[in-house]
Amino acid sequence: MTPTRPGGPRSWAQTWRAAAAGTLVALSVRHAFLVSTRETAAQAPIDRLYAPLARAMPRTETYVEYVQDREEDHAAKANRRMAQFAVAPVILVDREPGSRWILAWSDDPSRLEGLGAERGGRLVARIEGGFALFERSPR
Amino acid sequence: VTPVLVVIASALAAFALVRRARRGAPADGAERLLRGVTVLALASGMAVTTVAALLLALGSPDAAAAPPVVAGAALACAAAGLLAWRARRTGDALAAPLPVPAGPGAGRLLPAGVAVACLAVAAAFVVRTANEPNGHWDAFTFWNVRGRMMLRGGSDPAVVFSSRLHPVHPDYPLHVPGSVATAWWILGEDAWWAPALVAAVWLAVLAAATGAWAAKERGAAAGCAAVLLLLAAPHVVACASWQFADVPLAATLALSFAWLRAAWLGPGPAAGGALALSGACAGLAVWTKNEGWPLLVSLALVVLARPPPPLSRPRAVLRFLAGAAPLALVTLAFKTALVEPNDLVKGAARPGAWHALLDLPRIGRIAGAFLAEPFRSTHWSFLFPAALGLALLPRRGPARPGSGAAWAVVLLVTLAYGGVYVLTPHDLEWHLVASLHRLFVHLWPAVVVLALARAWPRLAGESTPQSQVNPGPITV
Repeated sequence: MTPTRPGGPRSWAQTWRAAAAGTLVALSVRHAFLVSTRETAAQAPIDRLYAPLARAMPRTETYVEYVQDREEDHAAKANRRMAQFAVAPVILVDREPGSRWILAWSDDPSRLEGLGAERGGRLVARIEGGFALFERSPR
Repeated sequence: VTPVLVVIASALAAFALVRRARRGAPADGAERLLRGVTVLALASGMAVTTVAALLLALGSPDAAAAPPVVAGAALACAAAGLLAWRARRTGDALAAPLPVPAGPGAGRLLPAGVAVACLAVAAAFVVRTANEPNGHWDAFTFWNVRGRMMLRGGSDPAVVFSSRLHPVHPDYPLHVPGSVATAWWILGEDAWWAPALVAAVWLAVLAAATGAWAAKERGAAAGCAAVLLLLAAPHVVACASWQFADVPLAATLALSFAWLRAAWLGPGPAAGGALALSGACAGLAVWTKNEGWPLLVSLALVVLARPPPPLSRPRAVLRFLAGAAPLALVTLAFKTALVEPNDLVKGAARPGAWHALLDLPRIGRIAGAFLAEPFRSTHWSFLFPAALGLALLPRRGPARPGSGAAWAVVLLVTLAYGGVYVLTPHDLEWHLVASLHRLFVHLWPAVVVLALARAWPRLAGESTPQSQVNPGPITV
C-alpha cells in the first residue's frame, strides 16, 4: 500500500474522499444500530419442534397424519405451518387417515392426548408448542 | 467421515482447477484473494453435487458410512490431493497484466473503515439471526427444508423432491439446500445455526469477491471503496440473514464478472483460463438459483460478440462453455430427470402467454417497478442511484478495455429479468413485490465495481492516468 499523501496539507479531493468513505461506514454502523434497537418478536427455532420428532420417528417414515382440535384459527394455522416445514420430508397429510404416525396440536394440553387416542394412536412424545406425536400399531 | 472427505476432496480439486486455469498469471494480493474465494465457491458446488448424488444413490447418511463408500471417498481425496500437488507447480511467468494506474493508495483509513463496516454488518447479521433463527419465509419454507428433504428423503426422488408440501419448489437448484444438508450431515444433527453459518460465509465471499475484483480493476483503495459501498446498502445484510439463495447467487455472479474482467485485463496468455473460471462460476450460479441462467447465457453471448484478446471467437466461447458445462449440465440433468418444470416454465408454455410481450401497459408497469426499486431507501439508502450516477460521470482518461462488455452483461441480465415478469403466470404486482428487490441484490456487486472502476480516475484525482503506473509486486 502506498501512503495516502506523502506530506503537505490535505487537499480538497482527499477531504472529499474521506467524507465519502466515512459516510459509507456510518451507513453500515447506522443499520446495525437500528437493527439492534428495534423491538422484534424473536422466533423459536423450528428445530425445537423438529428435533423431538426426528428422535421419535425412524428416518424412513414418509407420511404423518396431522390433526388439530380447532380450525380457522390464526394460531392453529401458524402452528400447522410450522409443523409442516419442521417435519418435511415426513410429508404432512391433512385429514388423510391411515398413516402410522399422527402429529396433533392443541392449545389445551388436556385435550391433546385425546386427539391422538381417538384415532388409535399411542403417545410417543410431547413437543414444545402444543404438539404431540402418536404412533398407531402396525396393522 | 464421508461428508468431511467429500468436502476436503472438493476443496483440493477446486484448488487444482483454479491454479491450473491461472497458471503463470502474476498473483498479487487481489488475484490471490479472488483465487481463494473462487476455490471456496467452486469447492462448495462440487461438494454439494457429490453429497446430493451420494444421498440419492445410497438412500441415507447411515448407508454412506459403509466401509466401501468411505474408502471411495478417501480415494477421491487422495486423487484430488495429487492433482492439487501437481497444480502447485506454477509454470513459466507470463507477461504482466495491464498496469493499475497509481491513484492514492489504500492508506490506513480505508482498511480501517472496511474493518468497522464489516464489524457493523456482522453485528447486524447476528442480531437479525437471533430474531429469526430459521431465516425468513423462503428459507424455512423451501431452501432449508429442502436440505432436510435431501438428508431424510431416502433414494426416492418422488419423496426427496416431493411437491406435496406446498410451496416447497422442488425444481429449485440444490446448491444452497445441499450446502445446508452437508453441514447437517457433518454435524450429525439439524442444528439451527448451520444454515445461518452458510449464509454468513456467502456474505463474506460476496464482500471478498467484490473487493478483489475492484482491486484488480483499480488497485487496493478501489477494492476497499467497493466493499464499503457494497455493505452500506442495508438490503445486502438483510438478504443474507434471511438465509435466502440470493446472496450466494450475487457472490457467484460477482466471481463470474471478475474473471471475465480478468480475461480482459490480462495477461493475454492467461485469458483462456480466466474465461473458463468465469464460466465455472456462471455454472455455479445456475446450480444456485434459476436466475443464474440469464447470467450464463448473457456472458456467453457477450464473449461470443467481444472475445477478450488475444483469443479467437470460437476459442473464447469454447473456454467459457468448458468451464460452465459441468455444473450447468448437472443442473439440466436434475431439472429434466428428477423434477417437473416450475410454475414459470409452465406459465410461459401456456397458450397465448407470449402475447404479453406486446402488452405495453404491462411492460410499462414492470419498467416503472425496475426504475423505482433503486430509490427504496430502506433497501439501498439511495446508494444504487448514486452508483449509477458515478457510472454516468464523464470518463477521465482512457477506458479500461472490455468494461463495455461487462456493462452489456448487466444490461442483458436486467432485460432477461424483466422478460420473466412479462411472462409470469402469477399476479404481476405480487410477483414484483415478492422478488424484484432481490434481483437488484444480484446485480449490486457488478454495478458497484463497474461504476467505481469507471469513475475512479476522477474520484482518485488522477490527472494523467497513463503517466503513473503502479505495476505492483509481481509474484508468480
